[in-house]
Order: sequence, then C-alpha cells, then structure tokens
Amino acid sequence: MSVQTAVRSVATPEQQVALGRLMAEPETSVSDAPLYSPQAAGLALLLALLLVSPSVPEEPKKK
Amino acid sequence: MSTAVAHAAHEISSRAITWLHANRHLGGFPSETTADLGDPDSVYKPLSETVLLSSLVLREGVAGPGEAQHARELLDFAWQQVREGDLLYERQLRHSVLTDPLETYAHFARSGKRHEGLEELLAHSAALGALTEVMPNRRLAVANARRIVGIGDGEDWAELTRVTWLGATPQPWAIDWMTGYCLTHTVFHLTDWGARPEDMPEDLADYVATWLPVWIDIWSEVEQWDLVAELLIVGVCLPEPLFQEADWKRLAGVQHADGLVPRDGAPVDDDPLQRFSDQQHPTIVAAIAGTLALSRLLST
Amino acid sequence: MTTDGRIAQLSIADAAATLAGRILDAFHGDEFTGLADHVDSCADQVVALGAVRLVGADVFAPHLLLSRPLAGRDVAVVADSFAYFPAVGEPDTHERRVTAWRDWATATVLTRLAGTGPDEAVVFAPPPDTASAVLGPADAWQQWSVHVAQLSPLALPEVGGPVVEAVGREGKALARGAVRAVLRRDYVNAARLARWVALLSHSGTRLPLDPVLLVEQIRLHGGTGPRLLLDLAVARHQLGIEPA
Repeated sequence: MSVQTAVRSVATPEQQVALGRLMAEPETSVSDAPLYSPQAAGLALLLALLLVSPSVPEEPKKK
Repeated sequence: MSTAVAHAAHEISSRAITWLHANRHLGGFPSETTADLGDPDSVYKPLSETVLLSSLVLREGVAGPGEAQHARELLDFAWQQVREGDLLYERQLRHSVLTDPLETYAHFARSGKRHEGLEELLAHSAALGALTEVMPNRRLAVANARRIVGIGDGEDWAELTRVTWLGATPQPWAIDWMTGYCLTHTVFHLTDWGARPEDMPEDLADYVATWLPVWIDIWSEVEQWDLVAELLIVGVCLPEPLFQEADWKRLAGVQHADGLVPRDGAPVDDDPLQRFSDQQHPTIVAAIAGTLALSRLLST
Repeated sequence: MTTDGRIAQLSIADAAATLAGRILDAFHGDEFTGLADHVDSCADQVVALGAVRLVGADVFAPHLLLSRPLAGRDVAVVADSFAYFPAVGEPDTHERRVTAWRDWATATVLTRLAGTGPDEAVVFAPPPDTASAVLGPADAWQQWSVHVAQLSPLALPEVGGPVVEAVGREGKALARGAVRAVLRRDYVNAARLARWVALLSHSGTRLPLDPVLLVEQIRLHGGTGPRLLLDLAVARHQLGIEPA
C-alpha cells in the first residue's frame, strides 16, 4: 500500500471532527425564496384585483 | 376540530377587525373625489377590500357580537364613502369596460346594500360581452362577482380556470411572489371565498393540497406575512381544508398587540397614516383568514 | 470552531470536490483513473482519504452505474480511509447517526462489488440504527427531507436497507422537500434530494412532480460545483437521460 507508507497513521482530531460535520451538512441557513420584484409584478399592481397584494415595499428586499 | 387553530383564528380575526374598525377614518376618500379616482390604489382598492371582509364576516356569522357590529359599521362606512353606490354607478357609466365597480359592488350586494341603476348597467355590460382585458385569475373575479350579484348567463368556469397559472398545474417550483397571489385568487374566486369548496376541480384541489404546505413554509421563512395569510385562506377553501397549527400560531405571533398584522418582516412605520396605509391590506387578509378558518372549523 | 478545524473542513471539502470531479469524468465517458491513483496524486493524502470517506458510496457510482471494473488497490484505499478516520462509536448524536449510515452504505456497496468482505476495518454488517432514528418523522417533512439529503449516498442502486425503504414510502414528503429546496434556491440540497427522487422514480414510485424537469431545473440553475454535478449525473442515469 503506497498510501499507508506515505502518510501519518491517523487523521488529526480536527480532521476527524471536520469530516463529521461535512457528513451531515445542514441546508443553507438563509433562504433565497422569491420576493416582490418590480419586474415580476409588471402591470398587475396597477389597480390590482381585490386583496391581490399589499402596497408594495419601497425597495425589493433581499434576505 | 383543532381547538388550538380555532382559538388562534378567532384571536387573529377579532383583533384585526378591531384595529381596522378603530382606524377606519384613515381610509376614507378625500372630499373632492370623483368617479375617475385619480389613484384607484390609494383609497378605492383598500376600501373595496374592507367591504369584502365585512361581507364575509356577516356571511359566516361566527364573529362575536362586538366584531359583527364592527363589520356592519365598516360596511356602512364604505357604503357611505361610495355615496350608497352612486360613485360605483358613475364610474361604470363613464368607463363601461372596467370591472372594478362590479368587483366592489358584489360584496355590498351580498350584504344587502344594492343599487338598482348600477345593476342595470352591469347586466347590460355583461350582455354586451364588454370587458377590459384582464389577467386570467382576475377574469374569475368578474365571474364570481356576477355570480354573487346574479347577472349574466353564467360563465364557462372550466375554460376560465384552465388559462390561469393554477389551471395549468405547473411544476410547483415554477412560482414567484406575484404568481403566488395569482394562485390564491384563482382559489378564492372559484370557491367564492370558501363558500363552495366543492367547486374546486378535483385535480386542482389535489395539486394545491400537495404543494400548499411548501409554499406556506418558504414564504413564512422569509416573513412574507401578507402572502402567507392569503395562502392560509387557500387552505381553508380546499374541499379537504388544510389547518396546520404551527402556521396559525406563527401568524398570531406576528400580530401586534393592537391587532395590526404586518405585511412582512420589515419594521412597521410609526406614522399613523403611513402605518395604516402600509398594513391595512395584510390586516384585512388576516381577518378574512381567521374568519373563514373559524367558520370552517365550526362547521366540520 | 477553531481555525484549525475550519481549515480542516475546507480542505476535506475541497478534496471531495476534486474527487467528485474525477468520478464525474467517468460519467462523461472519460477514463476513470481509479481511486488509488487519484489519492496517490494528492499532496495531502490524509485529506484525500477524508474526501474518499466523505464521498463514500458515491466513489463506486461508476462501478455500480457504468459497470467500471473495481481494482484491488481501490478497495484498499477505501479501507485506508476507515483506518485514518476511525468509524464513529455509539451513534448518539444526529451527526454521528448520519455518519454511521453513510459509512454503512460505503461498506455495503464495497462488499457487494468486491465479492468478499473488504478490509477488517470496514465490516458493518447490521444497519447502525433504525431509519426513524436518523430521519425523524416524515410529517415534519422539512427537517425530514434535510436528513434525507444528508444521506444522499444511500440513493444508489444496490444499497437498499431500512433507510431506502423508509424514504421509498414517503414520496410526497420527499417531493415537498425537493421543491422547498429549489424554491429556497439551495441547489446543493436540491440535487441531493433529486437523487432520491430519481431512485424512487426508477423503482416505480408515483411522485407528484416530474423528476426529469426537477433535475433539469437544478442543472440549469445550480452552478458548476462538482459534487452537485455528480449528484445530478447519478440522478440522470437513474432516470435514463443522457449526460448533459
């Protein structure tokens, strides 16, 4: 085994902990779900139907 | 029945109605308003939505005596604002292909406030087949309003539904914020705001039942409370209603002590007028959601 | 986390991406150099072995899906990865449970492919735990699907076992999780779930979404990370669609 002769006998504790974390990677902590955007709204907000949406945010908001 | 959901739904709607009632005078027309309505979105649209809420509170009959009285007073306030229908009549007369007088009037008519001249105009307009071109879900709003008022010869609901976003049952991730609202309104009008859940075509009902929890989840995470509350109404309108306790508790949790329900996670303005104009819509939506949910829970 | 810990995590993640790129080459019709040659060519071989352990059963994707021959030296490399990174003891935390299941999948596939049991270090005959202990209840489909994504190397043919069976019974929860990941634009997670969607679809489970369109959506929006692309290549193969 070329590998065994070339390397240390065991990973460092940091490496072992790191591997554990990578095994169970969480989902992204911040969602990038679709929000209001002027492009998507288009003409629909011009006298939109009843209840269709609130008055729009001043700035397209990114989370 | 889920007692926890019923409790949250009742809390949300009664507090929201109280806030809307207390602030109603911030939502009146300027004194010189004519049927042209310089900015229809500023007062007219929210006023119409207030009428919708009041008509649903009175239709469902599950509000406490105080809230029911508030709903009647909100309705009276709005009826007086539109000069007992004359403003809608003048607007329809001048702009014969517009649909908003009909859409607003339907909820007055449902509550017993009728205007004979306007109904004649609306019936004539339906007979002409004259309608400004609107988005497909908005076309369903017109169909539902005509059904409520009792004008026209009926509509081809299947065809009207087929051309909406929902009618195509797209892959469920092919949706954005605005399309989310289109989806909710297709369900609102098809079921006349939860009164006719059985009118949802079966395949659409299955589709919505499968994916609604996902949409509620992703828009709750990014604190889009207005859209989330509309999606909760959709759940109430399904043939097999969807009531997830966590959703209702979350919405109750973001409601302010005075009853306001914020549009989203952004800070709420302190200025009373700005605050009302920004947050009136989500508060109305939440009031409708709570009212319809409580009613559906009590009837099942 | 300490700086050393962060560096270790980044270097193993980088090495895993490189390894995934090698495996991906096999799906694109290129020569698959083999694990042993790959590890030999890496500057830090412990890190490279960590990557082998992390990529886990997916190192055998070319053998399982493309019938590439398995060399004895490659078997030894996997055994080395267990020697240098000792298997977790009692699976008493979620992270350890996930690790134990992934290791189990690696050992299971290796045993199948190598014919006989691999090195002594890699004998995990019984599943480490119940499926519900690692996945949680499917009613809580958001968290359940994140756990399913963490176990994506199990979404290979020939792995089987309790987790695969449990996921196979929850097509709707899985589909919801995948759509949620796409809508959150978490494409790494979405691709991991798409593999499960493809596995279920391949086994004839009815799903409320179109698996081919899901994979294509992620391919067009998900960027070029080699591990994501490897997940998609596995999914595409299961769905019977040509490599992109």
